Amino acid sequence: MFDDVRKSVEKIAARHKIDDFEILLSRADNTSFRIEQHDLTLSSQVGIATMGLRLMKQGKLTYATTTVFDEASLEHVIEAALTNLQPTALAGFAVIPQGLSSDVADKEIVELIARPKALRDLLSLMVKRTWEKGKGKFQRLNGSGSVGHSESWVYTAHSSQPAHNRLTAFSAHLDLDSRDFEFLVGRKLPVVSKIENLGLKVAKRLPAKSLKPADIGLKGREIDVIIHPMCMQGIFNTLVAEHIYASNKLAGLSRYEVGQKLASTRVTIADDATHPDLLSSAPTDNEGIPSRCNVLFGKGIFKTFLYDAETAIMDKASSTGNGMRRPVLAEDTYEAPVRPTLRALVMEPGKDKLKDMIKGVKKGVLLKYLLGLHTADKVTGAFANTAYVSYVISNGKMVATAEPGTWAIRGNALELLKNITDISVERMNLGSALLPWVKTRLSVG
Amino acid sequence: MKKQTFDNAVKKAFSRAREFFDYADILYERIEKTEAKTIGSQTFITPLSVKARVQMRFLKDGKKVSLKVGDVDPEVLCQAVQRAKGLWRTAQKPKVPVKLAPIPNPKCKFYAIRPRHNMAKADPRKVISAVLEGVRQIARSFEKKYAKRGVKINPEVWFYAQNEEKIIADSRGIYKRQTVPRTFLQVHTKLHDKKKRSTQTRVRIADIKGLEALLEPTRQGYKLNAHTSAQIKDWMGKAVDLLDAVSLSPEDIARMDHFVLDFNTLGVFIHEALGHNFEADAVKAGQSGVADAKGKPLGMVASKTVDIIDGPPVSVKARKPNFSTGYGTELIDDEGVEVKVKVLAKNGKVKDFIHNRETAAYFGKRPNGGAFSELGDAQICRMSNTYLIPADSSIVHKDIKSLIRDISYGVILQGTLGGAVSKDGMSSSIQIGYLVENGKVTKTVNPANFSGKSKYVLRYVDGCAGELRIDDVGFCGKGGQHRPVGDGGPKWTRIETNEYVQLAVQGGSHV
Repeated sequence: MFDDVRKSVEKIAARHKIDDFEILLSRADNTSFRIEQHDLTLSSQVGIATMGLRLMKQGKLTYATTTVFDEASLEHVIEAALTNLQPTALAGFAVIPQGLSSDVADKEIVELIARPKALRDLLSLMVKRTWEKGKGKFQRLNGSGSVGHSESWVYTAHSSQPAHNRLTAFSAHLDLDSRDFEFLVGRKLPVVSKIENLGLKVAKRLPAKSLKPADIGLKGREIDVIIHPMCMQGIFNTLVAEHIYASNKLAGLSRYEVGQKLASTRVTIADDATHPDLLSSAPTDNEGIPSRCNVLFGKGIFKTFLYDAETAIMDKASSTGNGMRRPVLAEDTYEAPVRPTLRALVMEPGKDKLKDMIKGVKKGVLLKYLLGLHTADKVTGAFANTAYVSYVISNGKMVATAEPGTWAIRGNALELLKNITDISVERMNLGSALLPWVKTRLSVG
Repeated sequence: MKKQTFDNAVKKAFSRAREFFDYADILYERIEKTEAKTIGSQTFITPLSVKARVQMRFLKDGKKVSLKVGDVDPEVLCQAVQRAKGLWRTAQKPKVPVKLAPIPNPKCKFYAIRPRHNMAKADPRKVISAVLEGVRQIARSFEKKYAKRGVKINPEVWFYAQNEEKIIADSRGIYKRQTVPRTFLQVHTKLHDKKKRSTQTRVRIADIKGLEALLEPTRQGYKLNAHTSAQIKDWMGKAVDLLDAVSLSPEDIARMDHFVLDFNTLGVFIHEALGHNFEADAVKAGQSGVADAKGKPLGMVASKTVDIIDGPPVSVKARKPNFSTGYGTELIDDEGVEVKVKVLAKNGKVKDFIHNRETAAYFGKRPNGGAFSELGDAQICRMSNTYLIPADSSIVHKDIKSLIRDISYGVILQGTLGGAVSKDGMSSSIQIGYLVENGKVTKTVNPANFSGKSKYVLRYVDGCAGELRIDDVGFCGKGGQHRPVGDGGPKWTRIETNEYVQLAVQGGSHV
């Protein structure tokens, strides 16, 4: 597919005297599933391809995107794109180094895509086991997930070959009574017992009762909070990252400066898109710049902003390999502008076991998810959101779930990083992040 | 899409599907969009983006399978039919066999909302320039007005204008086509002053219209229309107000007697707290907080003085739908069913749900035009424009002054950056508040978060004022599928404080 599209674009580019172009092409096939109580439904995506194109002519830049690849359609979007060339700091697109290819397709996942019956049997076992062994602990079971296979290519006019990334992915998510959920995600098929026992794991830990803050005297108080990796990823990506992007530094919107102590000395965090286990790792960013490990906080000291090619030129720095198509809100990734973007967040683990961290909390919360975090204040880092599927901790034990809609948690993401007092030795793979559980203090509204 | 191209590809695919399946249908969607974004100091413009996708669905013996396909190509569609057979053979038979309720009015084929100023016929340079320059001029005028305070404004703009086409066809001869325009503008004002204090507000203006939703023609091209300019000015002004805002402690909030919500704040609340609970697929899955899995209501969902509605806006008196406005408005849904006004709650009691053909058959109802998908995804039950209207004139006040007159200590909450929902609880952000003491506005309040137990909060509505506004526009992300929606209610709605709702105001100095 790539060769056909490349040839068409080259032909059209020559006709329109385009100086440089950058193709970001992707194609995906997958089989996804939904679970409703005992019912399992499979559906497929076949040959879903997208293309984001950037063009440069006479030192100016323009964008075009399409999902329709015949030459006439490509000509149509390219012609329209050339009507609105914009000034840019870029002199041209990257020349992609040779040999930037990654092909780590997991045979078991490829097999499951080809043989949906095997996938059905595996998932049916998971559903059956959850109902049988978790009997009496829940009433409603809902789930979803997929096995997928995707390929992407980044290619520019002056490169001799594209950067190519082929990978497989597995994901499964199970929710019990909307009170708690668990998920698995990765490039490879997890150990089968982990999939089979996914729902059971949640059922076993679900306490019978739920509590409001007032029930245990925590309303309006500052409390110990253990933040689940998923919640931590949300807080970091939504609020902290805004201050790490070079584009925001250039716009005067970042509160960070390199070399400042901006997090607890316990905190070392990198953006590492070379990490072999993360789904978001790839040989290059969306501009064809090779991926690398960028340490963001080293023992609490802020080390670097994240750059794409254009902001790097504007700030007299080098690209950190973070030029990604990052949606503003509801558009698809390939339609989004290229901007500095976090790719694969990796936080160094601590020394304490999670169960010991929980034991050390007299009264507090294990915070798994904050509803509507996207609505928090990105300028200041302030948030005040409702806890969802979280656990109330009393005398070192998870005694109840947080009653939905009653726990408003208030804090500031930038301050939170400074006030991390403990980090777990365990880490969770979230697909685009590998993070531990962290302990801090936040207020209950 | 040329009808002949579509017909040829689909005819072949259905012919192949009929050999094995009892029923097949296809949804083709195509969008052509012009878009501009300014982020930080950069401007990104895509003069034309073309995207198209296909959703295919097959039924046999009570089992359903669906596929998302890249394009309408006879070979690809036939491959999809082949793959569907494999999927069907492995699919489990559900406890209740899947059926689809019939499509009402099957003979009507063409539906259209025609733009007065069509993006496809306009010069994208002139359109984009009018939007970006218009917003920048307003920002400069505010900087000039507040020069002494050193106010600097960085307005981040996201604009698009698009033409949407969809075709629904099935193996039994249904063919329906709809074309609509949709135009959207978001201005995110990021402001700081010389004391390095920073604030932000966001405003959105959008409608199921052409460029006339935002612009008016001039001799040279276009300029922002009066409504758009006024909205942007209002919310840039609020970003300035926030420089002097205060926080409220939990003790301050505990002694309040009323919250007054503007239509934006109320709208996101209606959408998140109530609307999702009325989607019949959520009801069927046992994930609704307003009805059990059999559709049996679990009690009152709002005060008996109000109704909750989904669909195009209706005139409160005549209850006549207006299909020419509303960001979430469409004439047919993504299964070809004509969109109806759905009275979800009447006098606070559950009355109806939002159905697709599958849930309508499951619950023994007629489909009401609530099935939507994001480009090629499966058609699930979705809101369009969801709003509250007064059902009892006794709660309607003349204006906001009258509405707050008897509040001894409360807060007016305005604007939202969106919300989120779980089964029983919800969370909605507030952009700005105004403290009310003894019937008068006294201070500006910091951004906040409004959360509550979904089923209970609106039971405490005790007043409203102003015309119906459903232009709190946004993108609902249910099931990972983004869909444009509108929501709202009267310009102002008053809620008596109660144990089921909480307000948490972002930090800073307290009152």
